[in-house]
Amino acid sequence: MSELTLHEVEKRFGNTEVLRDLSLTVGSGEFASFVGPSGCGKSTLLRIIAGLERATTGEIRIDGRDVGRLEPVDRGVAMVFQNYALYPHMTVRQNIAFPLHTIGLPRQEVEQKVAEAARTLRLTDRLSHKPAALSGGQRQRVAIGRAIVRDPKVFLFDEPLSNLDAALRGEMRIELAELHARLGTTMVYVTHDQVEAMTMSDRIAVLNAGRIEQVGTPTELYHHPSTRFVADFIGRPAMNMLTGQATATDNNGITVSIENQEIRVPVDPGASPPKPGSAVTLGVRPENVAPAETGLRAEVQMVEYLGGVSVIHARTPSGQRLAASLPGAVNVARHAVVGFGFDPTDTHLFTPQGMAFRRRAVAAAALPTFLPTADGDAS
Amino acid sequence: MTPAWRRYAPALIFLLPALVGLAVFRLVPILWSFVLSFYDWQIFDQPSFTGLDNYIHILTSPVSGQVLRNTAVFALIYVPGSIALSLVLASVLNNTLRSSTFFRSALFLPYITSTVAVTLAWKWIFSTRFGLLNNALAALGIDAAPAWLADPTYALPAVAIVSIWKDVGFYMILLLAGLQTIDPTYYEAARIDGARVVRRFFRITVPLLSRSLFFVLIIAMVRSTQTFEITYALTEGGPNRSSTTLAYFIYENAFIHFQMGYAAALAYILCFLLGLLTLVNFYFRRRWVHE
Ligand SMILES: Nc1ncnc2c1ncn2[C@@H]1O[C@H](COP(=O)(O)OP(=O)(O)OP(=O)(O)O)[C@@H](O)[C@H]1O
Ligand SMILES: [Mg+2]
Repeated sequence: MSELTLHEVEKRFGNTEVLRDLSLTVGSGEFASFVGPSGCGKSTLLRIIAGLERATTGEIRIDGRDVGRLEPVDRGVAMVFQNYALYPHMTVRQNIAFPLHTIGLPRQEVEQKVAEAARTLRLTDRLSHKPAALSGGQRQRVAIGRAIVRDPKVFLFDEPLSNLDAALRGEMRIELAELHARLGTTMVYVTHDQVEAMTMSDRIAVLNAGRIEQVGTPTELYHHPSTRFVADFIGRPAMNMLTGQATATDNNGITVSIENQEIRVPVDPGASPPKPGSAVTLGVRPENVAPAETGLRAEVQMVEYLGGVSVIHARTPSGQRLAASLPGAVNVARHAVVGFGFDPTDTHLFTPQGMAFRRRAVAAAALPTFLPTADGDAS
Repeated sequence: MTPAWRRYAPALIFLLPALVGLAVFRLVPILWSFVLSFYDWQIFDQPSFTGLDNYIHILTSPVSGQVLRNTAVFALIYVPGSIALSLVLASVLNNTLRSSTFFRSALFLPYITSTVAVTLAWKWIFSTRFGLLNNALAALGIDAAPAWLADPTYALPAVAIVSIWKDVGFYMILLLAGLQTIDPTYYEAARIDGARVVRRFFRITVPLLSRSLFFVLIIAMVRSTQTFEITYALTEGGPNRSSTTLAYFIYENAFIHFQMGYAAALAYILCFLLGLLTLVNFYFRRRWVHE
């Protein structure tokens, strides 16, 4: 159980600034994710935590101890690489045992730990194979095995699932979450896939161009994105962004005009409410958009049928894109002009600089509640 | 013309000059010297068939025994010495001087310069009284430095040192190419796993480089039996044959004593020994070379 603290970490490669003023504390036993687009500095950050790279300035603490100048092994971190980095000339057994041999553990203990890890990761019958003879998912598990045998204080994962096919990725997400639940170790997970971050994390930090854009739980990020970047990045299909003007501000929110429709958005105007006539962006998630008699009119461009849901892609008369995600199949023709509506309490409002106005009340979603069965044989 | 012939004819025509050259300058001498090895032929006399006499003489005479021993000693210095040194140089170049074409070229330079010219320079370096080496040793307080090229104990090692110096750049380039194919994340993973420099070298670098190392080993072994120019320019096989190795001995028999048949038999013995060594190498390959 270990706490990881990053304090004002910065990283420059020559003149390029890759990480800027990055501070965050990952609590003991927490599963924290860093998400962000390609090139935003996720791997660099992870490598700095691991000790493969030095921060230009700033501190990294594990359990309060400054580890910034220690070798990786002395920090007590283990890392799973994106390409697994399994030693190709060693068998699975040797790969998993490698970190144990380097710390000079007695042979018998090594064997016991390897056997245990292999059992946990269902690799027992693969122990004498070389990595080349394994499937992608098995290689992934060997990499994890090599990381867990050392009982590290902090686990670091660098996009560990990005080399797997979609089905396997889904499976491994569940396995990783289970592993975290079982081990209870602090985990830092880096990915560009917001689904992975959303599904596994206790907390997510969204990175943009080397800065933390926002930190929060998955639900916080989903319901209260603090910037347009986060709103855009979290949730799929991506949030609709409609440009318009602010027309009025009062205590109940900001009234905006989108495509000649007045919508009152229940947000906190904050210290600097928008002047009437100034540009704003209204955000609304496709899952909150539904067909409506009144509302925005838009021409249907395409319908994506995904089985459980269908996504309608449409375009307003002024050319703005609008997507609506509806359960099941939908019956609508291409080029039909139809009405789309949404509840103003589901919307988000952003300044032209991309900052969000704090939303007032988020309509409490009706959460389905599962009850134990009366006769108790559900186990 | 049959279709097959029509298909291969153009290729054959293009290959013809090379094939003719190969046959005239390689195949014919190879076969001819094999035949010759069963004859006694002083170059100006008529050859006379002597059966296995040449071979029997080589295998029983004390002189050729000494030459074979010298060859083995030379190989035992040259092969491990040049591989170890080139491996160290390649690793250093790969890790710290990655971008330095200067060092790469500087270390490769001896390999492409004229052998006789640089060997003459080494002759001065080894010179007993005025040589760079002994003066350097004297500066370090070693006054009883040997007369390198005149002392039977040191003449052969001196030839080996110059040979290593000359070839090490070539092996280094081969190994460097091998090192650069190793994915750097293995080293990062090994660092995370707690392996320090020495362990990383023996557990990651050497196994992943083993194919290049095997190639270099074979080449170094072959070259170790073929050293001639350096011996010729440095010691002429002396003093008292102490630095005569097989290739030089062949030259001596063929072009000083003009014993062509005898020289041919020696060449075939060399060929046989090399073939044997290479077979042994390939046999052990499985044990340490990772595919
Ligand atoms: N050694 C280096 N020297 C110079 N620039 C570097 C170095 N390593 C990374 N960078 C730069 O730092 C930025 C962040 O790189 P990083 O690998 O951390 O991105 P990432 O978020 O992990 O991206 P991806 O999702 O593609 O893996 C990139 O612009 C990259 O070009
Ligand atoms: Mg990366």
